[in-house]
Amino acid sequence: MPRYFFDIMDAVQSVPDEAGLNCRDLGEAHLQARTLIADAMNGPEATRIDWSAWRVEVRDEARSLLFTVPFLPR
Amino acid sequence: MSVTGEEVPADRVVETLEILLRAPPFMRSPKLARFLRFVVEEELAGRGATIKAYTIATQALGRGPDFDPSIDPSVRVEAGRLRRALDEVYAQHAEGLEVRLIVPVGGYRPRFTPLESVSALAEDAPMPEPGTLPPPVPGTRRATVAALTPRGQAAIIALLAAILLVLCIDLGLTLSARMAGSAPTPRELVVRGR
Repeated sequence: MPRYFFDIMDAVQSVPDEAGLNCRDLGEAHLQARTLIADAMNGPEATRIDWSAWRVEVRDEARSLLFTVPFLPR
Repeated sequence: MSVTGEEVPADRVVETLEILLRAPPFMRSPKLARFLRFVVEEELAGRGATIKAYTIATQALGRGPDFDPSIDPSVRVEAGRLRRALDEVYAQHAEGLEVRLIVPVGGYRPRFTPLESVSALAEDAPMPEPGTLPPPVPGTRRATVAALTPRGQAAIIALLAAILLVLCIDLGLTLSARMAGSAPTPRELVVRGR
């Protein structure tokens, strides 16, 4: 299975993905991106984070950008 | 050794932790490895209640004391990746793992569950004979639908047609026999005529 990387960022901060995840195809990679977004937005502590500024950049093993998933739908 | 909340001995949790940390996702990501080791060791040390985004960031992820979890989602993001990495290890590299380690969504405290309880239940279950159906699950209703294939439908139609044909023949014979009983046959007429 190909490995995809899910870098999470806004305009000023970036949380790069070191491990990546094995996904069957782009559809599963998109589902994993949505799961990561849901996990991040459901943390235990209250935040003042503007989630509309955050996105997931899904990249292949060569680190080429495949697609972007915003945290909040536009 | 202490016993965790799920009745898993702490030494087995430590063994599991060391196996997990040698699995590919954690070998590729020292950050996730430090995150996992920190939350497990804090939980086993009885400090699970103090596992917060701030302590993870400053003690496991190398962030400075100015880390503010209310505006920085780094720990939340890494927690999500940690959950996915654990799922991947248990799905693809589960050899030797006796304890399932999870970090539930909405928190950072790990939980431990013995894996053999799940596998033992599966082993104790009787294997169905080849060609037999498994017993129905209690509490569920199985809808029984008499569905026929087109070939089956054609066979039934042919059978009904054959029955109808036999009935018609029988009716015809009965009627002809009655008619023969009321009217004289040509042979009888011949005999009477002599």
